[in-house]
Amino acid sequence: MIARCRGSVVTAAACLVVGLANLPSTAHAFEFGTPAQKATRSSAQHFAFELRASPYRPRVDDEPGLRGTPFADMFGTNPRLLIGFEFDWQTVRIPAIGTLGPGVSVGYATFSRDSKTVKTQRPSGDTTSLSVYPLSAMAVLRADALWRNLGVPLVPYGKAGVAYALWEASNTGGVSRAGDAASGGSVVGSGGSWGTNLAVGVSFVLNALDRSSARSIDNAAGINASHIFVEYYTLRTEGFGQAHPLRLSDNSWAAGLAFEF
Amino acid sequence: MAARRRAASGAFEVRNQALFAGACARELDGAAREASRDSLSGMDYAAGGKSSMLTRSMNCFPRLPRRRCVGSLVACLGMMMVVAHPRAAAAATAKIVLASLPRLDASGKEIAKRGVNQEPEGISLQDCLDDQRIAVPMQLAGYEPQSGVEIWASSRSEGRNCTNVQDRTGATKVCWRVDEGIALEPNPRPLLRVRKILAGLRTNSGGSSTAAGTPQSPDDSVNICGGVDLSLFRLNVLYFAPGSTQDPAALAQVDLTADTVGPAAPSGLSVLPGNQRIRIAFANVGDGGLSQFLSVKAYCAPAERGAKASEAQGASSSQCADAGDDAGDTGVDCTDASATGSTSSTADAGVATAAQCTSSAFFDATGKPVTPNAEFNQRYECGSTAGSTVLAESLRGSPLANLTEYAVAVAAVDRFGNVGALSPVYCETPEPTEDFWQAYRAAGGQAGGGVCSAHGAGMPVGSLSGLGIVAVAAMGAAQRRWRRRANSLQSASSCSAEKGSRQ
Repeated sequence: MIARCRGSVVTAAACLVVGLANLPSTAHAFEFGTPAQKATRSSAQHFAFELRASPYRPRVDDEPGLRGTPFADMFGTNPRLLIGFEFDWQTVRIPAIGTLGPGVSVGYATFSRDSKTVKTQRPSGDTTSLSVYPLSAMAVLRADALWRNLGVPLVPYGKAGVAYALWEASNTGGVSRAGDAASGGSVVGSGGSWGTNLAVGVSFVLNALDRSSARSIDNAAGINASHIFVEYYTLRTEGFGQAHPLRLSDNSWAAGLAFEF
Repeated sequence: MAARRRAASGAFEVRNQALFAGACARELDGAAREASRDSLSGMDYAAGGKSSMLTRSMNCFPRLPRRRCVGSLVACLGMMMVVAHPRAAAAATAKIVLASLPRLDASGKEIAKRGVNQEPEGISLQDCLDDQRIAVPMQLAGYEPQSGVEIWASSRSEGRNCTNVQDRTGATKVCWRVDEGIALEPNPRPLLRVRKILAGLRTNSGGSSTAAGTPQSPDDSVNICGGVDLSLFRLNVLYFAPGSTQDPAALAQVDLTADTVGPAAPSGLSVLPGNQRIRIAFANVGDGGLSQFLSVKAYCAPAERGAKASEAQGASSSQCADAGDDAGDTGVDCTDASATGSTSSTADAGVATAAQCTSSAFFDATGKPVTPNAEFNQRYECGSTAGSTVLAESLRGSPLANLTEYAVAVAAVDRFGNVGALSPVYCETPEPTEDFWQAYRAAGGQAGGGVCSAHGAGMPVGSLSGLGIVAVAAMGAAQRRWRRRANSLQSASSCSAEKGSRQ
């Protein structure tokens, strides 16, 4: 089985998941989800939801063969705000470690500025912009044993998965088009770039500040824990086998709120 | 302003009154009072008509033999029943049956009305210019031969229903006749010219300088178009019994709103070039009031310079010093300040700028700005907006040409579809503008082509999708398996515990 799994990274990941599903009987050491606990009067916990924001500046100009820095020339070098949300299914609880499960995230960032006329460099009524929508599907490990077992309100976590960044270049008239010398036609300014997404971070459990309120929220809305978090991520969308991706990679930090329920 | 709003919202109202029935009731009431008084006083009273008959019958008791008196009383009661019977009382009624009055063009062909947000029942400037007709379908019941039906218009604010003959024919009359003869039939459908409806209520000096346009001197010529600002009219359908031309026997009414004056011109304009477009921003829509403002239209026409511009705008306009003949001088307009670094053309009318170019299309033969109508819109409209910025992008179905100078102006549109006065004219030249995508491709960038192009050879889309499906399925299966195992373990332990307790 292992030999068959050496084909590609994708196949290996698939085998890992299938293998996880066929664990021997000793798998009873794991729990699926986090059942309700009478002792702490907390409800069952299966999911997490994150709202996040981060500075973002894609490395479009790093594309091999690109002459000059068209992205920096147009939009400058300052990062813009990337906002997004993430939904995790905390499928497995690993004793003395934490939860493990798949998650998906969606983000949005836009770069825009008023255009000048090409010939006379006068201010114009047009704008030009690039909008990016990074999507990710990943495995998320949240090591919440520190908080659950020792009462330390810190939860280190890590994420790894594939990313797909949709993007669109537009102007006042709609989606941009540019002439293509090779085909004699025009190329529309939109597409998607494949890649990977890795992140490590730590969250502070807000329940520690007011346990009775946290319990009330759990009783009322089923929210087991609220967190604020900071993470460092590396988004690499350099093709993942794709011929001509737009380089939307960036290494940056993000912060936000997370809720487990 | 409040009145304007009320008038605009008061879309349609139909009233029907049976004056004849009311008059008979009054007569009966008076007769009864008279009879009562006479019978009490015992006076001999001779009079004609229905009331005198009633009086006679009431007075007959002391004089006539009982048999004759009873007979007379029966006859009197019979007469009362005839008079008081509802069908006889409402001998003639006129009723306007439709909530929406059909609209016809000058040739009598039924036409579509404006959209629901554009006062479809109202009368606009274009309706008046087109000499439209309004059909008023009616139901007439109980009418008699030789009777007559007339339709009179009045201002609703006057509060008159035209039933008083002085309101129709007196020196201070407030009603004017709008029908051109109505056939006596159960379902007449008179066609009323909108100009005749507007004819007696000129509220604005626009359209004509004549003093006509009052109830005393109605003006149903084309000159009334543009002379009626937002006003509420009432159409009064009067039924006259045979031989009567003074007091109508029945009345039906319908209200109409009219506005033939467009909003004031937008002001505070700022004009910027774009790639095959011109962006026009404006600060104010004018004193027409935002309640009536619906949108703003932009108009474009090839710019004219020098003598032509001077002719178009009369002596007040200055000529463009830059004749635009310089080779390559395509991005400079007459108010252009590209040379000085100014950001846009922002000169208002009356403000003396260095120079101004224009287009004769925007002015009539006397040098007066054109008031846009349907034909003008068709020829020169190049954009519209409901916001505060309009993009002039397309002229007669084609995008504006880069490096061609255009004269542009804007005009506000109200809820009746009336286009107001043109703003001052500005000139601008569309030209290519910076675009990230074009810069990226020009620098040798290879990405792009649409999202679908990402599914080319070498893309792991299929395998990744498969991975996702396998992952979710595997996790679900594993979870079910684990639960079954946990349940069996739990039941086994409870069985052994139970066995132990039995032993």
